[in-house]
Amino acid sequence: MAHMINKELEPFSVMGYRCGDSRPYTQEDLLGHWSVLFFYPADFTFVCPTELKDLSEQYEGFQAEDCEIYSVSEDTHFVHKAWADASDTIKAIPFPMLADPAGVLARQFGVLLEEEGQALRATFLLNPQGRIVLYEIHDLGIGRSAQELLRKLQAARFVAEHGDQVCPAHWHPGEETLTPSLDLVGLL
Amino acid sequence: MPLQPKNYPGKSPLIAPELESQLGQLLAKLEAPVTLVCLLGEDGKSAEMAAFVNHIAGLSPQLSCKFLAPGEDPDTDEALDASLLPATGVYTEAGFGRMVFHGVPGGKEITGFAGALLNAGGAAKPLDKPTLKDIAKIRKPVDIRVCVSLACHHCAQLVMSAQRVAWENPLVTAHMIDANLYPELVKRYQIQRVPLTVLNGDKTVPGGKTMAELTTLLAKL
Repeated sequence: MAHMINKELEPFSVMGYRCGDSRPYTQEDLLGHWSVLFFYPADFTFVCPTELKDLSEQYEGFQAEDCEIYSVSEDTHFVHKAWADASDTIKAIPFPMLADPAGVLARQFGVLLEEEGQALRATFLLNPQGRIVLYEIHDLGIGRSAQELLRKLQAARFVAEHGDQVCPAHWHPGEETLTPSLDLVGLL
Repeated sequence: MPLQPKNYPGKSPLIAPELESQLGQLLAKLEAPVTLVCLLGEDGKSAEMAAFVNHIAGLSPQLSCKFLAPGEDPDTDEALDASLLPATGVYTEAGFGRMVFHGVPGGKEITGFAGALLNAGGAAKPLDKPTLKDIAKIRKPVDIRVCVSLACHHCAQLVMSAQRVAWENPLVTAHMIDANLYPELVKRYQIQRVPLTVLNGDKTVPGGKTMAELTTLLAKL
């Protein structure tokens, strides 16, 4: 199974809904800054607003990292609007909600369930050049964490700016001292 | 009551027989006496460090160790920074060798610890002349604190470079800090990745550095 890391964004044009307004969005909108494409199965479902609310609450953090969020489902932008009209949570979403009823984006990113006409729960982080630097694809029932996504974005930006000369510091309190290993002995 | 090495175990479970053998071969190269001075608290990590240092000190007749409690000697408290215990400084007959370890240098950091002993014991690999010149260009006092995790190979190499610079240039002091042990430090500098180097208490520099990059950075301070 081929992976998608470093795959370049392909041309597309879809409608998007944001804070009461609708307009076309293309690949050009996703270039020049970091982008999160946040696929979810469908509007008017339960887990999705929970995830989208979580993202909304962390939105300032994503903006501070020069990142725009684009949620994507296989609904039309009219359905996005209807959902926003029906739900205060959705109405408060500050980022564009892309409408992908023809499955253009979901197919491009390999997350379309053709028979259901829905996308899997999937998240893609693209760098300012439009290349995928990380992604996760969940089965439908498994929710995601905006905080964890923000941490990954920060890590991706850090690596982009400083190269790979760092290690993640996933410390746990009370961790035992690692058994020493003289594997750099050639340097001595 | 003063702390005594004999009150702590002479062997550390961290130093397995194979590692002990490797360290023994390296430390056999020491040409001058080296003393490890440990500032120990009453916590478990300090006790772990005491056993670790006791064990290492037993691997060469050139090595000795001395244990102190914070407050016992203000000069040592200041030199080793008693706010980050356990702290272990490398000393020669001439005095403080300006190489300090906060925490237990297990994992990858054992290499840097051994490197510091070789530096102080006159047994380190000689540096080339351009590198020595670069180190001599550092003309202002610099306190280098490399925050590490013990599993990080980038960290170990940077610690070794920093310690070597400190050994060669009397204006420089180098600290290895196992950041896992000091959550306040992690919070203060918002450390999410390592190594993170803190210079003179305020300038932070992320990521690994070659010796050339490090000396260039330090010379510009």
